Amino acid sequence: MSQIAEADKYSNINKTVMNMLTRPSWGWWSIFIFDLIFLAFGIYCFIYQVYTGLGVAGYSHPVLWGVYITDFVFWVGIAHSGTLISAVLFLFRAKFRMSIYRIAEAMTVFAVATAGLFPIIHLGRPWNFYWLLPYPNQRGLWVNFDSPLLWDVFAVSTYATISTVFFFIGMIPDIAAIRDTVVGKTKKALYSVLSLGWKGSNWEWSTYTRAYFYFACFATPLVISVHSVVSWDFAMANTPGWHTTIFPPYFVAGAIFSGLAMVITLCIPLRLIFKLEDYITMENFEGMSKMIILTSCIVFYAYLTEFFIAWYSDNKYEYDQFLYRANGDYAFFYWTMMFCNGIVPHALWFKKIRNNLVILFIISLLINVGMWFERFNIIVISLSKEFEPGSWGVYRPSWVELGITVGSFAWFFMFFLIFVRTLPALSIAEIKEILPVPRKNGGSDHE
Amino acid sequence: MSVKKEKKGILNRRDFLKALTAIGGAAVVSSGCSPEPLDKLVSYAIPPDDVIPGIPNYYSTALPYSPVGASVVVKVREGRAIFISGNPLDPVSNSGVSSETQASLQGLYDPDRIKQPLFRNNRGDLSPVSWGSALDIFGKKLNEKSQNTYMITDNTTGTLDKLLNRFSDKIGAKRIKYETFSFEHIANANEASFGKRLIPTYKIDEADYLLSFGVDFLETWLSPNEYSAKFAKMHSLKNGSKGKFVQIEPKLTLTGAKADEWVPIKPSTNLYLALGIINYIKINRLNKNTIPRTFTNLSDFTLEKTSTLTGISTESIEKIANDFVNSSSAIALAGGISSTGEDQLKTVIAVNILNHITDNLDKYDFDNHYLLSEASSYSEMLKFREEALAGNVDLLITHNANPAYSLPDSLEIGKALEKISYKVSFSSSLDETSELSDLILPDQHPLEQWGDYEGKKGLRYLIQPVMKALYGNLSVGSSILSIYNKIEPQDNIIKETSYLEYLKNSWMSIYSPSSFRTFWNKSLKDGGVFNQASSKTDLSFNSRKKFNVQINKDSGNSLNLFITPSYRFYDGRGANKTWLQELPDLLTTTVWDSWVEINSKLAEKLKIVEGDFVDVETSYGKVTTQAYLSKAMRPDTISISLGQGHTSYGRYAKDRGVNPINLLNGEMVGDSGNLDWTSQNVSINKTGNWEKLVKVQNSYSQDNRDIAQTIALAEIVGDHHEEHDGEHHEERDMYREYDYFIHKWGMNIDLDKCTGCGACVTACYSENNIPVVGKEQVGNGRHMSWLTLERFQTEEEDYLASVRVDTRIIPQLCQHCENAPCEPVCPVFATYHNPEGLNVMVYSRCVGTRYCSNNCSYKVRRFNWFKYEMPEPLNMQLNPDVTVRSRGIMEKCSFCLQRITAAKDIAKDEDRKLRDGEVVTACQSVCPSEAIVFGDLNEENSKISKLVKDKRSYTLLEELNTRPSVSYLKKIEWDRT
Repeated sequence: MSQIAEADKYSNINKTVMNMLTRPSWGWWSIFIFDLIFLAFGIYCFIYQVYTGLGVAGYSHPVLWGVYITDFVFWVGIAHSGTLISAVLFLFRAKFRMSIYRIAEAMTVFAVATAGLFPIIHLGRPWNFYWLLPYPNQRGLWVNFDSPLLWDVFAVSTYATISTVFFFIGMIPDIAAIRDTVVGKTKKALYSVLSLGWKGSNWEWSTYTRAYFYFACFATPLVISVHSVVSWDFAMANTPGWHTTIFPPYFVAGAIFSGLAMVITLCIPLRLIFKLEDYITMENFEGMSKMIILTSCIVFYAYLTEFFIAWYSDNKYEYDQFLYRANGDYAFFYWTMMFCNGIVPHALWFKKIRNNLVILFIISLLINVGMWFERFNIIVISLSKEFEPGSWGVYRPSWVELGITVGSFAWFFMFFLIFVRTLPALSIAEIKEILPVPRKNGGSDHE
Repeated sequence: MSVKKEKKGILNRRDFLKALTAIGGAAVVSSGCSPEPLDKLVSYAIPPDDVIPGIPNYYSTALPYSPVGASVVVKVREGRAIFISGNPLDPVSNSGVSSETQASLQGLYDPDRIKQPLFRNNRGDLSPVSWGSALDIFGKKLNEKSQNTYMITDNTTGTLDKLLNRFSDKIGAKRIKYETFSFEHIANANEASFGKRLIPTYKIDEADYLLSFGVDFLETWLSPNEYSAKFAKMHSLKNGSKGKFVQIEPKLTLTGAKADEWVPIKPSTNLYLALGIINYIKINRLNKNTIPRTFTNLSDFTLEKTSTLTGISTESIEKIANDFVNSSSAIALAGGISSTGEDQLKTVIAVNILNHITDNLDKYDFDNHYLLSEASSYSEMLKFREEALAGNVDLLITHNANPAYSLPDSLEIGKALEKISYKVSFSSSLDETSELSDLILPDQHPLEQWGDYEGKKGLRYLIQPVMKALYGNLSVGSSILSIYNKIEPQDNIIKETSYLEYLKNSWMSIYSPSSFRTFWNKSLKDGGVFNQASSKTDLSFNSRKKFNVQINKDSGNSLNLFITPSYRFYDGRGANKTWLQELPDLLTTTVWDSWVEINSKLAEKLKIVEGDFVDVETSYGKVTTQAYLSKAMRPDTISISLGQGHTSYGRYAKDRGVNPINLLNGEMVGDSGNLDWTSQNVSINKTGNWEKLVKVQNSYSQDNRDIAQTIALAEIVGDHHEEHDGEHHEERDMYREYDYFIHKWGMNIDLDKCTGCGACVTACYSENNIPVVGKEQVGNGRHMSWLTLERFQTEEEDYLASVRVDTRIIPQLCQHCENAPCEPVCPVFATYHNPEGLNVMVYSRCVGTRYCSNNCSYKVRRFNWFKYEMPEPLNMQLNPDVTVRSRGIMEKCSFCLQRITAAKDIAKDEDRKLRDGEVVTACQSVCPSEAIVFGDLNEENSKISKLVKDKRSYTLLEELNTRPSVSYLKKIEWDRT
């Protein structure tokens, strides 16, 4: 790359980011309104469900968890890779994270905000959701700490808190930069508050980098814990197909896998629209693609292990369950998952494919679909065929559930659309770190 | 008013007070009559002596429904009947009570009941009219002279029958006691065989070999409750052996599902088989009594010929004949409705001969015969129809009879009824017949009126009102009494003014007790007078009639229709009750609709799959309904269950399913009296429409999971000691055992006794306020039943070739596990383990995560997907001791916690410990075969503690270590296949 370009990059970074925060174009508005229509439909579905009863969802005995819990696990999974990219890769000093980690972190926060809705949406009496919180009350009622659902409450809320704090801390210097350039009283005031009075002094920088490091250390175990806990919702139950020790690592790997795919899904259009080719480079996509191959292998290995154990354990219920997955009522979903998660990612072994953004985008979408079905398969197929043959039944999602699912995507994208227009989607400070500092004499001694 | 008359217009003190009183009084009156519901509960000013709020009253009464009526005990809370259980003093019902009888509560609170007399006005609509004018109209009608009057009622007995006879004599009406299932052929055959035109009690409990020629005695035949109890006695394990039951029928029925040997037979060939067996006995000289020469061509029925005629192998026939002769006490039954074809009379006679020559007539109890034989002959009904069609009937009075539904369309009953110039009905609901009436004088429900009923000789049930009548209607008896003396000529006056008085005098004249008051009160308390005759009359076959059996040349390819009377709806009268509509038919688990059962091989040939709409057509009619495929029936038979297909009869029955009666020709068969319920030459055609058949159970295979287990008889009796020693090891657990300081409740269900009649399911609905969700929601897998009867069948390729269809029925309910998987997963402690071993649900705490149900290994928890509302006054049936659940929460069997509490309260009041068997759960209280036992496992000598140690006892999915409190006794098999 020529030095002039490098110099331009360095000087343009502020400009580029600021450009993203200008008055939105009609294009942005139309997408945003389009998104809000879907969100409104999702909200309508939820209100309809609350008024009429949970029966408007497609639940059918014995499948009492369905699309909502699938959505919950899916979004928690998506939430995963944000922290992974920002915290874990930060600790590993992986440079390819620099330009995408802000997007990934935002994705995390919004995905958790989306995931957190589903345990409430799926309740029979959602207006009593706060009973799941251990708060002192005059009725002397307490929660059951034995229940994995309660662990979920803590795991998800902790994760939401930490990832949000981490997200905002990372943005402080960038927000300060925006504050300095932005026009308009309200905007200025808002960014001033968010920048926490950042001045960019040496002392601030050294404290800040240390704090960021500690937060990264603190967030890293959460990457493992949150999805492990979510997996315990299933692993702690006695249902065949759920009751297995492989679930925590399997879920964590799956979550990273789906999260990376989601980051790619978000980055490619963003890069195109805002012309960020200089910052989100092929190097970034290369790095993520390779991690996708790795996690895909782990996930696929877990699929095979489940089958092996089902056969090797000689446990009839387990055995029947996996036969049913492969050739039962939901076989189509199962093989869709196998194809999307086990086969498709291996195309990424080829550099040509990794560097073809159109194909990469399609692959990332397929992985998202596959990972949604993975959760669906685990939850629904296991429940459909448990111990007692007389109770077996088949579940079909209703339009209300699908409406709320679509609404949840709209909810997520609504935040994301607001985010790219209000907060720095690229980390100005960190991108500058990896760029060579342009000298007045035109030379560079960075390398 | 006096105020106005006052001079000067000034009120004095008196007038002021008067005016004040008048205004105040008016205010009181107007508020008292206000139709607005009161939103405050006001306690009694002077409480009635016999009502203590919170404490139920129990009244013995009876439900006068055919075939034999039911003596019941009704639980009444604060003036509302809420639960029906059997009368333990009644020797017939043996405290069991069928679903149908229990559901009569829903007849009482039927939202579509007629609330006051209806009269057809000039516009041709039925409009409400007061009782006074309705009776006037009726009286005027009766006084019009020279009419051809008919009075069609059900088989009324006792005092009401006497009154109706007297009434019809006076008005010159011809009386028809019409029963859809009159079992006339049995009475006629007995007349031909023994000279007694009666239907005896068959003492099947004394037999150890029961051979049934297509008799559904556990469902609708004669007295199903009685025979369920007797069958349980005959079929249960005693002294290391048990009775054997062989069922011969073309299609597996609920009764056949209990058979130790199930023999599929060509439809309408029962007679040939019976004769074949007799002939075999004759040839081999196995008979104990001489064989009468009733059937002239008996010798034609060689083994081979019988085998080709009936489709049963010669070995099977030989085996049946030998077993029958060799057993110390055997009985053969015949005369089921489904097989009342052309040979119905001869079949019963042949079976009588079979019982006679093997010296088994001692099990015919003619002294305690059923009064069903007093029902009128079907021929009278046909005569009526002819007269009506010719326009010669002027007045028709109906009561408890619905011929417009229960007779085939081909008889044009609707047209015949239309030609009758005036029709009066006593029906309390608008059914197909009463809908056409010109005047309806709605009867009270039996639970609201006085009366008596004699279903069986010597057993006279007393009917008493258990609650105040819901509407101001008159019972049939009262209506007739109030009009009787006004009919011209005014002679032969009835002096009693009320029906109660009439009833009392009637009882006085029958029993003439020394102290009527004591006698009456005792009878009221007991529920009637139960005088069972014990005398044994020697019975011998003494027919001189001769029959030559014509062998029908079977066309070979013809398809036969096999109509099964429904144990839920009987002849269709149960169809307006939601409990019965939602009670799954056991063998198909379908609800709320009709279906046609087709052999799966035949269906394969015709490319019919389950749920296909199929046209079923005979030359008399056509019905279109959904297909259900079954392996347990012959390919030359299709079957439709009776009871649905009403065109009227309330919101729940109307336009639901099809009525297979319309496929019949309606003609009478020869001299045997009955309608021919069979039909040959049926055709079935796919219509091309498909819809999911709504069933409760989707998988009928156990999938080798040993849910419903069996044990071979030899294994119990013999020294088959399973090697327990050595294998037995101390169970260790990480967790501390629960302490059950006082009680530990447990239930045991004997799968060998359970017949799958569904009485327990209905009892559970009734006791625990379980909502009825309707067809659509059951189709979505959301039925709410806390107790379901699951049925499993082996997945053999050819059921017809096997000795029996291994049908296993298992009542599935909350197992109240000690290590309950549902308990730890609830995040809010809405379900927990209580100190008495119950797994309890706290409805108000539940937020509806449904995790408990996902983790329940038995899948017995039910979720309230909606708020299920019931139309008034059905809600009056709700049990005030049980919370009505709101939507969004989980519910399940509570082991009738409210009954446990009530029993404990009584024990505490009496300062004693609970007795074993004092707590009776709802399901247990109604079980006709007494398969359910509930009790305290902490009590060493309790019945339940002994049962769980039984060799047959097991718990479901033992390997999961959930340690259920519900245990089952394995079904006993004669031979293990």
